[in-house]
Amino acid sequence: MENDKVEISQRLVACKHFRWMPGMRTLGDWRVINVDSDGVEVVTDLSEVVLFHSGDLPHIPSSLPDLNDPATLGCLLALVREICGDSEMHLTLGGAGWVWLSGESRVANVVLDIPAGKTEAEAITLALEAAP
Amino acid sequence: MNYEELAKRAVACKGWRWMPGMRGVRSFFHPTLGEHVTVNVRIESSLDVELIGTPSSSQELVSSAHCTVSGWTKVSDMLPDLADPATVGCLLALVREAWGDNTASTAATRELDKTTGWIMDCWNPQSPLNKVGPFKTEAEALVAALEAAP
Repeated sequence: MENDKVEISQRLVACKHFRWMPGMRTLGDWRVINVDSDGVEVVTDLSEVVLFHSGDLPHIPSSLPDLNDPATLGCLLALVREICGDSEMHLTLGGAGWVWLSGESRVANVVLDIPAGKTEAEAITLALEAAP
Repeated sequence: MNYEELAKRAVACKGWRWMPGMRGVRSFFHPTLGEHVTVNVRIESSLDVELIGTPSSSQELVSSAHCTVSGWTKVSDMLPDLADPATVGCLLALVREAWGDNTASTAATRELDKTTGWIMDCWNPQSPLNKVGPFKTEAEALVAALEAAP
């Protein structure tokens, strides 16, 4: 993955609201299949199922989220909506980049008060970083 | 339209394929257990897997050598779980691929009756993709976009 996406991944996992969700993939080619009170269960690149206790996974090398993976991006979009309490939040490409809108703001043609991102991944990161 | 009906429409599209990270679901009556069983599969590798063993009433698996569930007649009966965020993310990727447009996204819009409608949105205002919707759910907008792909 490009360096800038690695940097964005690092920013993402540093967000207090970030959490692993089923379906996400790591840069190490692991897939999260279950998340519960016991921790995060992943399938590794060797097809082994491994359980990491909560809090461990973000500290393991190459366990950054893969921002080229569509499933991971889908999970992150859902996470932003949950954290912001707005199920209608969505990204659209405008002149300034990927900007956040909601159903209400679309009518008023007003973007949400979140900086635009050059990529969807960056816009998602900015939204999570800005969330109170 | 419920998610199961939507999922059937999705898998019927020519642009459809299973993608890693998607969640598949299948419910069926298990004659031995005498009850309906729901099996969920997180897609990671090939779907060409033989499923043998005894399922519990509900089980979450990975489409790999770890699958050990019986009662599964054929994997092609499985439907995507359109309530799963990862699956919806993959569906968006399929829409972008089918339309050849990486700017495509879903957008919520307020209807005249104040309800939310979901439409497709993309950079090119002339694209027919921008005419898809509104629909009641984001998943329905994506399925309609996949159906309407050239």
